[in-house]
Amino acid sequence: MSAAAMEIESLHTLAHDVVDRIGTPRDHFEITAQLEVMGLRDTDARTLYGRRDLFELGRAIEGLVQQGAVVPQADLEDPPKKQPSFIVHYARGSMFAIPMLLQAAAILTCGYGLWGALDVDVRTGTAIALGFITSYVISGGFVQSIVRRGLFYVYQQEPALARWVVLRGWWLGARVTLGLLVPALVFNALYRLLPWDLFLIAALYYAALSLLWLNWSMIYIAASRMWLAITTAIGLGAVIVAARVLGWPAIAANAAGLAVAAIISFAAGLRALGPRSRAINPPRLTVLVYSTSRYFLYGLLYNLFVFLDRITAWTTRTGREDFPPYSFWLSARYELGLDLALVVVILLAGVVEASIQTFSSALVPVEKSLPSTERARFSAWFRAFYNRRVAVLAVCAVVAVAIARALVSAVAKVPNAQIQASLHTRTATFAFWAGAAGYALLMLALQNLLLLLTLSRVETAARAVAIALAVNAVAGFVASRAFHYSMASLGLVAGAAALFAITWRDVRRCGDALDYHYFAAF
Amino acid sequence: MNVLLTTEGTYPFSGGGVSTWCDTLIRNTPEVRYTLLPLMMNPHVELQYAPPPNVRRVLEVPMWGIEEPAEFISDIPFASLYERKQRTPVAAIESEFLPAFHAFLDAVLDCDGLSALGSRLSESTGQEMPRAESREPRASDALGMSLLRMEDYFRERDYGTTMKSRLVWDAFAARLEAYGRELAQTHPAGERCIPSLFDLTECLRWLWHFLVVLNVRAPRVAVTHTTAAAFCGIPCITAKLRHGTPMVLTEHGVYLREQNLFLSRFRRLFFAKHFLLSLITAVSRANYRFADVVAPVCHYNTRWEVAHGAPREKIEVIYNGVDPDRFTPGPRPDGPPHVVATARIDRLKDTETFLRVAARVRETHPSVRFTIFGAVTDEKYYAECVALRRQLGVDVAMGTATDDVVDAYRRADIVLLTSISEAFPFSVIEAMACGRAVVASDVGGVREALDGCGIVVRPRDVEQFAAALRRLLDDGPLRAKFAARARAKVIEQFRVDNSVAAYLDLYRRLA
Repeated sequence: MSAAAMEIESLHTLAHDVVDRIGTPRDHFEITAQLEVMGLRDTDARTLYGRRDLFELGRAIEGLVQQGAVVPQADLEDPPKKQPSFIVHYARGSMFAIPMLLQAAAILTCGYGLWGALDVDVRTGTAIALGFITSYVISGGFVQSIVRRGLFYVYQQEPALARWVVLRGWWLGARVTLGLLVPALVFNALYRLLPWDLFLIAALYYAALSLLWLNWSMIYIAASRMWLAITTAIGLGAVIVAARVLGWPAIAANAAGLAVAAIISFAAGLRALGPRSRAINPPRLTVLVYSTSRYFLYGLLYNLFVFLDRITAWTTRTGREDFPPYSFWLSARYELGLDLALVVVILLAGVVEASIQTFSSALVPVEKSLPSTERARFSAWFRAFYNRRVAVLAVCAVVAVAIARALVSAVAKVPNAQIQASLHTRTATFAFWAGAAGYALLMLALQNLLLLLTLSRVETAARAVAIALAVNAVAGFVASRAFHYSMASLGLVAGAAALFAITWRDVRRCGDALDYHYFAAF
Repeated sequence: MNVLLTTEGTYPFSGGGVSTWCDTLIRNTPEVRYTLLPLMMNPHVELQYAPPPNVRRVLEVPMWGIEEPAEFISDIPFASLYERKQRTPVAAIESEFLPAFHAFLDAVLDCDGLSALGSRLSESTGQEMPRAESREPRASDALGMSLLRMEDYFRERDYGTTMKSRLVWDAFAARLEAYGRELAQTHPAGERCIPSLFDLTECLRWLWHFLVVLNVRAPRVAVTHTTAAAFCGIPCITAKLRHGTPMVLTEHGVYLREQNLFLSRFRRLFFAKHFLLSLITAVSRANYRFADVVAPVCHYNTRWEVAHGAPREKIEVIYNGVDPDRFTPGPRPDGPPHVVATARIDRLKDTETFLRVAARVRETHPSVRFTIFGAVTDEKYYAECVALRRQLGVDVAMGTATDDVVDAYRRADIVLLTSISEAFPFSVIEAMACGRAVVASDVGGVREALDGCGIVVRPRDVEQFAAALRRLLDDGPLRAKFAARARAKVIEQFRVDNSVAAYLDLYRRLA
């Protein structure tokens, strides 16, 4: 073989070696860089391949690739990642509902919940309800902000910063929520809205539950959702022991249970956030507050939406069977109807979770499979996916309402006079049906909201909730004042329907430009 | 004199050669007041070097790990940043930003088109086609101007609102789509040149991170000095265009070459790799274009610089230097012959070859000890090396850095460097200053350092490395001769005061 022929053969061998390493090269510079780390030098390019230097050698190899004389092996695609099944998603999503389920089960079977008990009088129940609702609403913004920013650092594998931002958010949330008791106290002193014993009971539950919700945000970030159920179960255990074994009154037993649940959840959250370490160079606080403020607003509005109908119902005397002595007075009938309707939420939470997880895991593979010229197909894929998910959730909602109705029948057989007295009333029945419809619509809307949040459209989500809140307030107020207090639940139905309609439109709009919205969601 | 010194992923937040060089330069030029502008991969890293008193300010620019650049712009009140957000309507994005952005993309893709297509056509047709460098100035000028216009824009308008706007996305997608179609007609990658939606998403997100530097308001100085032909050079380029501030570029490794190597791993994402390399190529070339002096640390680097359009008359090599009063030959502790490397455990250092060489040498010289002093920077690679060490059955101490590098050299009979990529490594000239014989791979500027006083070996060539070590282990007088020559060469050519004086002279000349 002549020297020239040997040179050509060596060049081909080398070219194969290069493309095996890097696939199709972008240009000869990429090849040259590779040749250098393969140990070749300009002197080798001259002596072994007859080229002036490595750049010339790179050009020669690029030429071979261009001519098709050297063809890179087709890149093997990664095998598709095995996605968790619907059941796994469903179970994960339902984990959020387990505390509700445990609370309901404990009340029905033992007469005590983590907050509240069957044998408390309406007066005390009113105070507990007030504490519960205000804690849920006020802490909602902090919980959303903590979760949002905490997860940002968790995804970036910055555990020290995740810990820093979560604890800072927690501390700020705790100070603000507890600090708000001071103006509330002053306000009550000036206007005497509630007698002091009720005010103090409400304040106790408000403080304890606010801390519990803030602690749960820590648990959520650390991805140990099971602890939500565990802390609830242990707290409930403490309540039952305190009430049944030690004979404590219900409020004292609740206080003990909430304290236990709060301490354990805080410890579990802290442990899951990892060991204490210094957060290096954390971001400016003002910008941090600003950047999470949209999530704060969203959380605040959403949580207010969830309880607005109760507030509306319990602040009117229209149609009341009893004689409310204060401007805010619990109706056990209304509450029982809505509590039973909550079964719809418990059953559907997992379906919503499965939708969101499926969407998140499908986005990248679908994007990779579509050339940029097929942006419309990406939107079409989403529309089909979305329509399917809405249909599935709607069918599940019908089933969930049927199950909830069956549960009402089951509860009607519970040998408890108080339950019987409340359940077999028009108020409870109306509240149940309106609540079931409202919650079913709310879950459909929640699926939309979570899709919007997945695409970081938090302003859109917050705006939709704000409008729906207004609808809820107006419809509930008018109906409850004009006809019957239980018709405040129509506010929930109208608000949830509005929320679904608005977010349905918003999601479809996002879907029509999904390529853009996915890009911007980082 | 005020100097803006810009770095990327190095000083003062990471160790390594560039950081050593920066620290040495700053500490030895107390008459110069420095503003440091480090581009960081992540804002949450600790200082590895306490800035000396002549560092007036450190303007940190994290490219990743932030949601908004505003998080780290400490010199502008939040109220102004908020106002900036409100002052970024769609109309402003369309009329003020998009023209500059279009020009930027054109410059990036035009610059790429020449290098990628021109050379290919010349190869396949045999005709002389315009080389990258012949049309490079026009694209680099356009790139520089577009960067300046975008920087001006971001002084008034919000970065996040603009870069995440629908208008920018649509403009980006349309331009890259058209480019991909055009490229697909000639490039061997064919249809893979047409970007996927994922490519577009990733590319614009990367751009968001890389252009964060446009948010910095660097002070007006006498000279700017960038330590890489990279994104950290952008503030220097815009300062040159805005105020005519002279610019110095020091390249340690060649950024473009390193990025070519790094991005070669992304073979499945062909278009994304292609775009990113186009961007990096354009930015590197703009650095060469706008620098008044390109001062690489060795002649070897100039090959890449010239190939990418740096005029030879601009290039002034300034070698790295060490302090020969600190790195002195000292007594070697008693014990068997000892071969030492001072190199982190990293693929570019080719630790595997070190282990193989150790195994080969032990076959004939079983008493020789081998030690690598250096931190582990790549855990996965370290695990591979540990497995290889086990497989070879060779006892090599590795995985631990040393606080006393002089002591590490003094423990050695021979210093071995098996890197597959280097610029002008401190480890070689430090070992030379310590009067040790050096065997090193023939990469970067190593030959320039070791010529006549050490042995250079073809990279990855285990047999050649082993032969060189055996030769030196068996020939004490040769080791002594190399050691003496090496120290003399350092004193003559690679002293830190020479190096510092050359930069100071450069500053004075340009200011």
